[in-house]
Amino acid sequence: MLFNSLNFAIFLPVVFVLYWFVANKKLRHQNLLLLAGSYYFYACWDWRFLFLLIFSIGLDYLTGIKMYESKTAANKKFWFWLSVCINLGFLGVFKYYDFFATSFAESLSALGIQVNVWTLKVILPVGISFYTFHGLSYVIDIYKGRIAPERNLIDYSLFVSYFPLLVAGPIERATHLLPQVKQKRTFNYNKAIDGFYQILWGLFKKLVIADSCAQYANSIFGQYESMNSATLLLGAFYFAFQIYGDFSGYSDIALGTSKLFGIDLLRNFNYPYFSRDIAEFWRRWHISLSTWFRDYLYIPLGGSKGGMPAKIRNTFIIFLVSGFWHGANWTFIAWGALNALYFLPLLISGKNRTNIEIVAKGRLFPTLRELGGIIVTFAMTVFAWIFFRSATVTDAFLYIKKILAFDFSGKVQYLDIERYTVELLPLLLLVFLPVEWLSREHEHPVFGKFKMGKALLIIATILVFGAFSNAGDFIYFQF
Amino acid sequence: MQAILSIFSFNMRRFLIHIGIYVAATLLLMFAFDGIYTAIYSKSIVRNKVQLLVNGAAQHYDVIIVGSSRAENHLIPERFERQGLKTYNIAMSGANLCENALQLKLFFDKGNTANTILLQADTNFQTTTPATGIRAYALPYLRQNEVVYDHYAKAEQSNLFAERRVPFYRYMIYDTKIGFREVAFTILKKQNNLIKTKGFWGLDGVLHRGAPSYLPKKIVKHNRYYEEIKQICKTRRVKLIAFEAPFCDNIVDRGYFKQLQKHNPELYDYSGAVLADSLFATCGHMNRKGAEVFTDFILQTHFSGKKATEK
Repeated sequence: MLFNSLNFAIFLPVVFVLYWFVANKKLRHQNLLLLAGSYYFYACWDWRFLFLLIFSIGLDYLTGIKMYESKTAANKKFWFWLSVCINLGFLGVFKYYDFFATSFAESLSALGIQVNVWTLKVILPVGISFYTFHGLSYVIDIYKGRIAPERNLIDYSLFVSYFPLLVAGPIERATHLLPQVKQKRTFNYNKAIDGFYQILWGLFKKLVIADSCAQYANSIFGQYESMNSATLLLGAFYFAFQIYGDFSGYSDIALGTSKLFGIDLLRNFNYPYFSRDIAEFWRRWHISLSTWFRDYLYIPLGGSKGGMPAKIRNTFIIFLVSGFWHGANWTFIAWGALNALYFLPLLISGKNRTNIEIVAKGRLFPTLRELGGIIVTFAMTVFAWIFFRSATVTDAFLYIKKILAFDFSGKVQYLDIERYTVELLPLLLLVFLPVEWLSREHEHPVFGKFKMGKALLIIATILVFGAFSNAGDFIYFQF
Repeated sequence: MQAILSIFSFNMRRFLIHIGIYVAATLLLMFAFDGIYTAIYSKSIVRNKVQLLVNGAAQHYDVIIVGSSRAENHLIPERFERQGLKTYNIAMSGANLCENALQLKLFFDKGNTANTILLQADTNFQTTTPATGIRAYALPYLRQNEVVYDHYAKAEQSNLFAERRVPFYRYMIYDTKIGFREVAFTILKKQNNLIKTKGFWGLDGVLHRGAPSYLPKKIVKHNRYYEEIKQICKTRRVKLIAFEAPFCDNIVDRGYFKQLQKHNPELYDYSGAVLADSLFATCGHMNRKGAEVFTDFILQTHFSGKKATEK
């Protein structure tokens, strides 16, 4: 069930009505209803994988309690590693086994040894990377003594499988979400209406921006051999907006939906394309994953303590792992490595925490220096997206090679989608970017005066400019 | 009403009223946009061939060409007109025989007349359902044109109710075909190149041999829309010349054409009338040069002395 589907448009009001009018008397009823709704939501994709989700929940629930009750450190460690190994084991088998098996076979083949490896060829359980990380953070927090285990199975299950965040995050923390789950929610008009506006903006980003850009980006990346340099640059530019609109749009819908039920989720995006350097970009892009890696990988590795070599090593590790988290493909690893390289000069010069506040706060326009920083950071990001989007690393290099041929001759190219390459630029440059810029100190553009007018304008724009015929899955569902 | 509202808290009531306003406003917008789009499309004849058939003035033609891209790319009206035959190529790339049948219904319903219909019927014979992309061009007329509605009401469709009754739905789900961009070009009267060339769309490039193309192994012997087209021509007393258009030499199962002809003996098998790779852009589509050769072949075979030959 997609957030942008008719099924969800029916599912959400039904759950909303039951939640506030039938199950509103007791906390237990509220949580049970949300849990049942979440399981139904997940089962709509593939009911068989629901058992995997329930197993994962049961495992972390039990090991959490066992760890907490362990009398000895060894016993505690045993339960901890059992949970970690099984969680990562499932992730490894479903997401990475085929990749490792085929990479192994290809390596041997390069040495002249032919082997036939057995691959699983199974579909990836949707959301497995997200709910595994969810569970892992909970288990690690208990192991480190930061939190006590949750004894109520329903509350814990809801924490992991709450439907707005189940399939593509944000990756929540027990310290943030569990206290909300354990408290009876009362209806809050301001929160609910704000959630509604955020859903609208999320739908705009998905249907108008991401799905429109997807048509162009897919066409250009699909036939990059026959495209000139200008078109290829535009292809990467369109993909940058596709993935941003797609994932931040999804996150807005998730956050907005959750607000309707009185629960706040962690913010996942904070206008990343207005970042002045790559460190700021990573504090504003997929925030819940970045902070997860910071807290559960970077800091345990030593973080920024120790000498420069250790810092560089740790930085590379988190960027490579972050890339690999996205998918079992060398393209993601290359994308991660490239971002690590971008990050390195800032780390070495100690300027990786220079830009913390949103750019031009309280001002309408940025300074020239800020604008320069934004443009350079965006250009670097767009370049890195080429690796993320390409089917293989070879394709990415060929794509870049064609850009570097500086073939800007000839007319604006006409794509197989029966559109000229530049047709989408006015929407992005004259509508989307200015609206995002003016909203950058808020979660979405529907704030301040004339909220109803703004919301109606968004609705009208979705109706007229929405790429409904191209409405597809959210990109991050595959991760 | 008051009793129902009293079960809600003040805040919930406020929220539901708010959402109700947005739902109502959305519906109003959909009604308004639907009305505007439909009104714009009901005047235009410059964007596609369906518009031309629905909104164009009635005329008499000597020859009307119908089919898919394998007719649209292959037969040049200009060459017919040089022989004094008033011709229009209403074939549409991607169209199935279902759409071709609708086109002819619209053509005659409008009061147009024709002496001869040239119908390309070969691999498109295999499909007995509408072609989604082409069907979209007819959807603006779904409510006001009974011919369009009746045609698709009898076709294998599941979405027709929503397309006809839910305002603006058809324009949303077929946004690439009849959405904002198309409306904008229609307002600007940006003429489609196909209209300038009387429906012919020439292809450039030359075929480079690669893997062979495969023709269907299992033949659909009878196509209800083909039968409908035959019936239309019979009722209107119009000569129908149905033919199988050329394919390049690099295909597997060329016997398909003979098999199809066996079940439909009135079909002319011209699948091998042009074979040289240099005359093709892709295996199923001839280039401009090939189109000239094939058009001349058709003219010589069927229209020598401006008179269609009998079979």
